[in-house]
Amino acid sequence: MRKTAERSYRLVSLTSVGVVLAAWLVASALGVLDPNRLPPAQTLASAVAELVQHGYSGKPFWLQIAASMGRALAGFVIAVLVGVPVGIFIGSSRMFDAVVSPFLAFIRPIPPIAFVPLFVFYFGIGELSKIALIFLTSFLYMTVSAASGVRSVPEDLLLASRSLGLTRRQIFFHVTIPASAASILTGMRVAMTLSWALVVAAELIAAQVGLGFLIMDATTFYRIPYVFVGIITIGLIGLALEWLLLLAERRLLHWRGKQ
Amino acid sequence: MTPRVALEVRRVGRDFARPDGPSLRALEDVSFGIADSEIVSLVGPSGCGKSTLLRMIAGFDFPDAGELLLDGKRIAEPGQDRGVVFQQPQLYPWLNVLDNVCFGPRMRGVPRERISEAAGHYIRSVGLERFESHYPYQLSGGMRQRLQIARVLINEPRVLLMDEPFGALDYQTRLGMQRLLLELAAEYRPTVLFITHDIDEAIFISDRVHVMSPRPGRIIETIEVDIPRPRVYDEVSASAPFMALKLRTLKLLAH
Repeated sequence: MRKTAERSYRLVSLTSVGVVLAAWLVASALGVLDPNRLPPAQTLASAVAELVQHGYSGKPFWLQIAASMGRALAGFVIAVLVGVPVGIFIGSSRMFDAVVSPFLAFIRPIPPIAFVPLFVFYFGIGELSKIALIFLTSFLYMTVSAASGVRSVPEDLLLASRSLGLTRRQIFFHVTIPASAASILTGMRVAMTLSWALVVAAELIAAQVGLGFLIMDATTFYRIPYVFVGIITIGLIGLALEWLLLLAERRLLHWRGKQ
Repeated sequence: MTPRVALEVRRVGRDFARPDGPSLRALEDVSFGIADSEIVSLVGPSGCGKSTLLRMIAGFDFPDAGELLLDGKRIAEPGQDRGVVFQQPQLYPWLNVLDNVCFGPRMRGVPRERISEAAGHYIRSVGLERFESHYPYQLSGGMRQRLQIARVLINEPRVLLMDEPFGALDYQTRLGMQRLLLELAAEYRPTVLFITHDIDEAIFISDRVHVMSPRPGRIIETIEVDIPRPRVYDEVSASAPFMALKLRTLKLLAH
C-alpha cells in the first residue's frame, strides 16, 4: 500500500514537471517569450547547437564542462582522502577532538565564498585557488560526518567484538570503519553536491573557462540564452552526481537503517 | 567426585561514583562458583547489580572488592573464553548470517576449512541453515538472538555469559529459545551464567538459581533445582517441585 502511494507521488512529480515544461513550450510556440529575458525553446535549442559546434570564448563546450567537473572532483577527492582519516581520528580520540575542533567549528559557518578573494590572492587565478576552496569546504564536511560515524558505533558492538577475541586494531579496521561507512557515504554525497555548487560560484568570480565563467561572461555580453544553457547544464550535472552517489549508497549500504 | 570449578566469584563488590554525594554501592560481597557444564542463573529486581556482575566477568568492568577467577586465573580483560550474549543482539549489520558466525574465528586466524565446517555445524544447531545468506535486518528478533548464540558458540568459550538474552522477545519466541538453549546445553555441555528476572525461565533452565536482593546486590539465597533433565516445559512448569521452587523464589524476592 505504501509502495503504491510512493508511486503515485512520483507520478505527481512527473506531471508537475511536465506541466511547467508544456507551458513553456506553448509560450515558445506562441512567440510571446523575449529571447533575452526568458528564452523560448527554439532559441535555447539553437544556443545549445551553437555551443556544441563552436564552443564558447574559443574553448569547446565540453571543455567548459570538464573544467568545472575537474576542479570539483579534484577538490572533493582530496577532501575525502584527507578528511575521512582526520574525522575518524577526531571521532576516536577525545584529545585530538579537543585540540582541533574549535578551529573547525570556527571555520565551518563562514560562507566558503568569503574565502575566494583571499584564495585568489594566495594561489592565483588558476586551478589551485578553486581546488583549494572546494577542498576546504568538503574537508570540513567530511571530518564531521566521519567523526560522527565513529562516535555512533554502539559501545556494546565494540565490547562484543572484544569478547570474540578481536584485537583493538582489528576492531578499528573491521568494526569501527565499516560501522561508520554509512555516515561517511552520506557525508560524501552532501560534500559532492556542495563541491559542485561551489565550483560554479568560484568560477563566477575568477576563471577563464568553466560553466561558472560561461554564465558570467555570457551575462556581461547580454547573451542570455547561453546563460540559460549554462544554468540548465549545471543543474542536470548536479542531479546526475547526486543520483550516482545515492545509487552507490543504496548498493553498498543496503543494510543501513533497517536494524 | 566434585566437578571442576570453571568460574569463581569471590567476595565481589562494586561501587559507582556519583558526581553529587556518596558513591553508590551496586554489589556487596557476592560469592559463588560455577562448575563445568553447570547452568547457573542470577535473578533479582532491576538495579540489583546482576548485569554489573556479568559485565565484570566479561571483562568490560572491574570490581572494587574481591576477585573474579576463570579456571583459577584472575579476569583482566575481555576475551574469547567468555562468550557474551547480549539482550540486544550485537551483530554486524553489514555481514550476512554465515559471515557473522565466521567473523570471530576468521579474525583469530583459524584455518578456513575448519571455520566453514564449524560454522555450518553451529548454524544448523540454532536452526538458521536456510538463512545463511540473509542479513541481520532480514531476520526476526528470535532469529537474531539465535545468530548471536551461534556466533558465540563457534568460539567454544569456557563460559557462556547471557544477559537477559530472551528478555526482549515475545512469550512464544522466548519459550522456543529456552528449549533451544537446553538442547544446545545437552549437546555442547557449556558452562552458563544466565541473568534474568523471569523466575520461570531461571528455574526451568538452571541447575542452580541465586536470588539477589535490591541494591546493594547481595545473594540472599541459593536454590538448587533438582528437576531431572531433559526437561520439557509443559510438563516441568506444571509439576509440584517446580511450583514449590517458584513459590520459594517469589517469597524471597517479595522481601
